[in-house]
Amino acid sequence: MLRPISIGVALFAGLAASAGAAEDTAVRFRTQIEPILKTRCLSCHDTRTHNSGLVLETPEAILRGGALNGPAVVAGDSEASPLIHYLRGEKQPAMPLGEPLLPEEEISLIAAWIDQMAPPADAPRSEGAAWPFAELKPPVIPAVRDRQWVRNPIDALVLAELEKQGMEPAPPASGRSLLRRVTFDLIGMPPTPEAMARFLRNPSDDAYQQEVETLLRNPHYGERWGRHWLDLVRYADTEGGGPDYPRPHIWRYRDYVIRAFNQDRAYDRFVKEQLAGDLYAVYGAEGKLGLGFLNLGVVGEDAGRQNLLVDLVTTTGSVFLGLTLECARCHDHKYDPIPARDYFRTEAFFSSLTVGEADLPFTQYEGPSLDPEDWKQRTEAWQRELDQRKELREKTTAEFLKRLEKPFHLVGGQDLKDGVAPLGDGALKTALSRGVLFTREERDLYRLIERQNTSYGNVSHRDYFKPRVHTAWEIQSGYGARRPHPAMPTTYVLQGGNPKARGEAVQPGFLSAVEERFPFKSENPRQNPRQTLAEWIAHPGNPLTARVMVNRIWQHHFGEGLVRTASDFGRNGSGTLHPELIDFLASYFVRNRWSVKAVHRLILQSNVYRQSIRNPRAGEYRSLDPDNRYFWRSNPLRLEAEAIRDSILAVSGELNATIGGPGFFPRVEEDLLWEGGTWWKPSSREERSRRTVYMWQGRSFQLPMMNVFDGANLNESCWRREVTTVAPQVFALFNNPFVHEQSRRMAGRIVREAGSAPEAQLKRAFQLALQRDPMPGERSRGLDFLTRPLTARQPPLELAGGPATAPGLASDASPRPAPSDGDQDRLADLCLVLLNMNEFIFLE
Amino acid sequence: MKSLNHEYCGRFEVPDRPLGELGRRDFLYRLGRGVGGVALSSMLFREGLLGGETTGNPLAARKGHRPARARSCIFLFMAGGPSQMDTFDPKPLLNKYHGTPAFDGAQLRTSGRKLLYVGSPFRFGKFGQSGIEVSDMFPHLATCVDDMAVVRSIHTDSDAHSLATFLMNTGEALPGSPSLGSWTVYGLGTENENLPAFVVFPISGTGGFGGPQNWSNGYLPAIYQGTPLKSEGVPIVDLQPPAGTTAEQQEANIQLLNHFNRPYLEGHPLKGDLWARMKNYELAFRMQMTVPEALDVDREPPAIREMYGLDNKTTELMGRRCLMARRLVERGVRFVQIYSRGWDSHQDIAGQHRLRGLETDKPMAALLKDLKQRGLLDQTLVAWGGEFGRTPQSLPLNWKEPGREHNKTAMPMWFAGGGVKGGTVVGATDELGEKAVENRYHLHDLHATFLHLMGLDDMRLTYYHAGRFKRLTDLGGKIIKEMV
Repeated sequence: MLRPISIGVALFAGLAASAGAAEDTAVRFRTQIEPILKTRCLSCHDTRTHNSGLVLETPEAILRGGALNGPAVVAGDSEASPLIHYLRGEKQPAMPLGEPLLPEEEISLIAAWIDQMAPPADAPRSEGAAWPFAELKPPVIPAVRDRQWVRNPIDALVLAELEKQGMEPAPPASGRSLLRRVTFDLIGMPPTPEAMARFLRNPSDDAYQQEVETLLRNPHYGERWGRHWLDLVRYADTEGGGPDYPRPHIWRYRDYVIRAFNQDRAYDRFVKEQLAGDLYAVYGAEGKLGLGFLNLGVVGEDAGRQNLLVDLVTTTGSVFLGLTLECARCHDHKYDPIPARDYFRTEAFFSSLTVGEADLPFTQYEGPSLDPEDWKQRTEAWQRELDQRKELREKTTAEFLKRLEKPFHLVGGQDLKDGVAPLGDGALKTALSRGVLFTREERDLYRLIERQNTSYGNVSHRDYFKPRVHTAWEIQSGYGARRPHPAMPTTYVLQGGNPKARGEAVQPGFLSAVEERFPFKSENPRQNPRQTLAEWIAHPGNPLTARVMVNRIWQHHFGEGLVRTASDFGRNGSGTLHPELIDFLASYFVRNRWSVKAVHRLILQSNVYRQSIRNPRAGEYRSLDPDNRYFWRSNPLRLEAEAIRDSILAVSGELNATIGGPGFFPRVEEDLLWEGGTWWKPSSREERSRRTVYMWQGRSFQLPMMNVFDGANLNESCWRREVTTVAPQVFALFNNPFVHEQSRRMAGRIVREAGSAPEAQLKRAFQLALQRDPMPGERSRGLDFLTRPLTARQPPLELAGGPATAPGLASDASPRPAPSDGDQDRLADLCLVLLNMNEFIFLE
Repeated sequence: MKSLNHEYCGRFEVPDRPLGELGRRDFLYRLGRGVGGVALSSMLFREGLLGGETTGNPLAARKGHRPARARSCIFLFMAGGPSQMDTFDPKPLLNKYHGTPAFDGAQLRTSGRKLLYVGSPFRFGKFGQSGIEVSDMFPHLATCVDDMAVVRSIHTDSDAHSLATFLMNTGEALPGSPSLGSWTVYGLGTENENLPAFVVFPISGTGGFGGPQNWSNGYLPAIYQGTPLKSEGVPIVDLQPPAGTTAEQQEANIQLLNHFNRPYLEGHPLKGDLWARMKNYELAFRMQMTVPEALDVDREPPAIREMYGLDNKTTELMGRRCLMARRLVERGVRFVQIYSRGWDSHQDIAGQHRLRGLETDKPMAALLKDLKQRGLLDQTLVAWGGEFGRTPQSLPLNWKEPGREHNKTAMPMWFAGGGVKGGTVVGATDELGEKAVENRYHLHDLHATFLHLMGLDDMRLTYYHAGRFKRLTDLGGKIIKEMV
C-alpha cells in the first residue's frame, strides 16, 4: 500500500519548480505532501477528528499545530520540526500511531517541503482563504519595462507578471482574427463579409473601437451573454427528474435575462431582481420576472422542501458568491472558512419561500408581439389543437377497444398454458405492444396519441400562451406581498445534513468570513429576509460579488477565468495568479455603476485581449506555463454548440433574428425522444431558424448537436463548457439533416448573390463562412470540386422530423430542398464542407 | 477501510493514489487531485486547447487501478422493479398468509388502504450443483445458476421509479450525475474506437423513467455519455447522412474537407486537437460500416439465432438485444446496458411477471451460455436487476388480479462472469421477503463492487466538480465481498 510518490509527481515537480517560486511551496504541498498526509495521517488529524488538537490538513493548520506540542513544524527548518521527529520515531509515540513508519522517501519529501517553507506571512498570492474575502480596493498599478505596450491598467497588471517570469506577450492578432474574435465574443456569430471588408480597409484603433461599440449595441449581444448567464442559473424549460414536466412560462425569465444584458442593467440591480425583485416596487414587472431564478431547480418525483432549499443555497452561493456553500451542508467546509452553521444561516433567508405560477401581464418590453389580440389568437389556436388531439385520442381508443371485446391470446397465439392472461385494465396497451390484432401503423398511431396527451416532457398546458409567470413568495404572506408574516419557520442546523437530526436553531445570517470584514446591517429590520440577502450580495462592500462577476466576464473573453474555477473562489479552486487584476476590474465595475458593458470595453481595448494566438517563443513558454495562466498569448477557442448552430444559420442566410418569445421545437428523430414520454411537434421552419438560445431546453432530452458539442448540463449551475473532440460530432455536423438543409440554403444564397460562375461562387462561399478569399490551393481544388461531375444523386429525402405525419396532425409545410440542379448540389456539398472546417468552428 | 455512512453526503476525502502504471493520462489523473485543485482531469481535454500539440486521447484503453478479469459489462436492467419473492428469493411462508392483511398494518402512502399478502404464484426449484433456488419464471436461467451470484439483500433509497432508476444508474436520486457506464469508460477507455464505448438499448414501447438522463455523462465530459442504439434500422441517429447521399459523394466531401483543413494546422497551437478532429471524419465514415456490422445478427448461424429466441415473437426483442450485446463486447465495447420494460406489476403479478419471464428468460440464458462457450464470460460482467424490489403484499383494490407494490427495502439482483463467484447466494430477506435483513448491502455498495470487478477503485476514480473531487460512490460504498 505504501506507494511512494512516483514519476507523476516528480514530473510535475519539474513543471512546478519553473512556474515561479511564489507558489512553489503551496503547489508542493498540494501535489506531494497533502497526498501523504491524507493517506497516513488525516484519519486522526483532520478537522473532524483532530486528535490532540492537531490538524494536518493545511499548511496554516500545521504551522498552528496542536494543543499539546504547539506548532508541528518550524518553517524553513525540518530538523527543528516536531512533525519530523515523530515521523522518524525520534519522539514517542512514533507516528502514524500503531502503524509502520512512513518510507524514508516520503519523510524526506516532507522535510524538504518544510525546509523550503517561507514564514507564513509570505503565503502565496491568492492561496488560502483570505484574498477573496478581503476588502475590495483598487490595486496599485505596477510599473513595467515595456511601457509602450500598455494601453490600460489591464495591460500593466498582466505585463508586470509576464515580465517577472521573463516572458513577453504575443504580437497583435491580425485584423481579420481580431474582428472575428470580437464579433463572436460579443454576439456569438461571425462578422458579415461586408463588415470584414470595411474593417480591413481601415483597421485603425478608432475603427476597432467603433466596431466594439456597434457590437455592444447589437441586440444579439444580449442573446450571447444572456446564454452565459442562463448556463449559470441552470436554465431549462422543464422541471427535470423522471416526469420532466414543462415549466411552460419560464421563457419569460430567459427573455428577461437577454433584455437585462442588452440594456446593460446595473449588475447590483440584476442580482436584487433575481433574488427579491418582487419586493422592490421601483423595479416593476421586470423585477418580478427576475424571480424565475428561484424557479429553476430540478424537481424530482418526490420533490421535497429540502430539495428546493438546497438548490437555492447552492446556486446562490456558486453563481453570485463563487463559493461551494453546499459543501458545508453536512460538515464544516473542508477548505474554506464556512462552518456548517453558515450554510443554515444562509438557508434561513429562504426559510418560508415557495415557488409557483401566477398571472403577470406582458410588459411593453417583452416580445416578440405585444398585441394582446395576437396572444389571444395564439391561445385559441393552441386550445383548438389540444381539443383536436383529445378528440382523436378518444375516437381511436374507442375504435381499438372494440376489437378487444373477444378474449385473445397475449403471447402471439402460442400454445402456452400459463401464457394466456385474462383481459385486465392494461389490455389495450398490452395488445398493442404485442402486435396482437393491430398493425404496426395502428400501434404507432396509438403511441403517438398517448404521448401527445401526456404531460410528461410535453407542453400540453391549456394556458401555454397566457401571460403567466413562474415566481416565488413567502408562504405566510402570500403572492405579491411586500412584508413577511412575523412568524417565519425556524431553521435548524441539521447534523450531517440529515433533516431528521436537528441541532441548534439559527437566524438568517451572513457568511461569517465575510461578516468579519464587511459588517452589514439592513436599514429596515422588518424587511423580508430575502431582500436583506439580496442587498447584502449586491452591496459594493461585499468582497465577493464583483470579483466573481468580473472574473466570469474575463472567462468568456479569454476562454479561461483569472480564477479558472469561476464558481469556486475557495481554497480548493484554482486560485489566481492575478488577484490585483481581479481587484482592479472589480473596483472599476463597481465604480462604473456595475456596468457589464464598461468592463467589456476596458477588456476589449487592452493589448492583452488583442494578442495573437501565436507567440514566437511559444515553444519555450509552453514548458514554463503550459496552461497560459500568465496570458502570453490569446487562447484559441472552439465555439460552443449554440455558436456553431447560430453561425450556420447566419451564413446560410436563414437566421430568423426575432428576439424573445416561447421556445421553438427543432426537428428530432423520433427514436431519440424518450418513448412513452417526451413528445413535441417541430415548430415551423421560420421558428426553427431562430437562435439556439430560444430552442426548447428539455432536461430529459437534449438535441444531439447540443449534446455532442458539450452543451450545458441543464440540471445544475454550469460555469464552464468542456471542450471535447469526439466522433459523434461528425454525425451532428456532417450527417445531420439540419446541416444538410442549411448547406442547400447557403448554396441558394450564393447563387442569388454571386451568380452562376463557379469562381464567384467559391469566393462568396469562403467570404460568408470564413470572411476571407480562398487561397490559391483552395481555389483550384474548390473549382475542381464544383465543376467535376459526380454521379447524380437522388433528390434529398425529407428527414424524419417527428411524427408530423399522423392523420389530422399535419405539421408545418415541410421544407422542400432547393430545386435540384447538379451544380447547386455540388455547391451545397462545398458549403457543407466549409461548415465543417476547423477554421469555421475554431476561433483564433 | 473506513466504515462509510450511507445516510448523507460523503464526509471523507480520500486521496487519489497513483494508478498502477503511470502513463501520461494517469499522471493527469493524479494531478486531478493535486495542484491547486484546478480542473486538471479536464485539463486532459483542454491541454490540446491550451498547451502542447498532442491531445491525450480520452477514450484510449488503459489499465484500471487493479488487475481484474472483467473487461466489459452488460447490465440487464429490468425497468419497473422485478419482484424478489417471485424470482430468486422463495418465501413459502408467504403462501400461507395469502389474502391476510399486512401484520404491521402496512398501507399505501397515498390512500392509506391496507395491503394484503400475496403468495407467489410461481413454483421454485433447486438447480445446479449450488442448488440455488429459481422460480419457474426462468427455466432457462435456472440452468446457469452455477455461474451466477444471487444477491438478495440489496436495498435502495427510493421507491419512486425515476428517483430509484437514477439512483441505480448514477448513485444520486436527482438527475445530473454521471452514470455507471460513463464512470467505467472514464476509468478504462475503450478497446475499440470504431464503436461507441458505452451503448444503451433503451426501453421500447411505453414508459421509461428519466430516459437519457440515465445514461448521461453528467458532469463528466460529453465523450463519456451512453449512445442509445436502436434494435432495428440505422442503429445510431445520424450515423448515415440523409438518404440520397452516396458513399462516393461522402468520400469526395471528406477529401475536400481534409484539403481545406490542412493549411490551417500550420503553427496552430491546437494542432493536435485539430488533427484529431480531422481523423474523426474518417472514423465516423468507417463507423457507417463497423456499427451495422457489429449489430448484424443475421450473420449469426441459425443455431445461435434460435438459441437467443430470434425465431419467436415473444423473445425476439430481448434476444436481438442480448445477441447484439454479445457481438459488441466481443468487439471491445466497454459497457452495454439493455432495458427490459414492464416489470412494474402492481396488478396481475402472475400474468405480467410470467410474460416478462417468457420474453427474457431464454435470451438472457443464451447470453450467459454463449459468452461462456466463447470464453468471454470470464471477462464480461453480466448484471441483472431493476430499480427496486416489490412488496409481499398487493393493494386490495387489485385483489382480483393481485400484484405487488414498490419496495426499496429489498430487491433481487444477480451477477455472472467477470470474476463473480458463481453459485453464490448473498444475504437474506425476512421470512416474507419484505426487507433485507442479513448481510444487507446498499446500492452504493453495488456500485463499489461493479467498479471493483472492472478493476477500478471507487475511492480513486474521481473528477473535479463543484469544488471537490466527486466519485460514483460519493455517498460511500463497500465491496460485496461474498461475491467477488
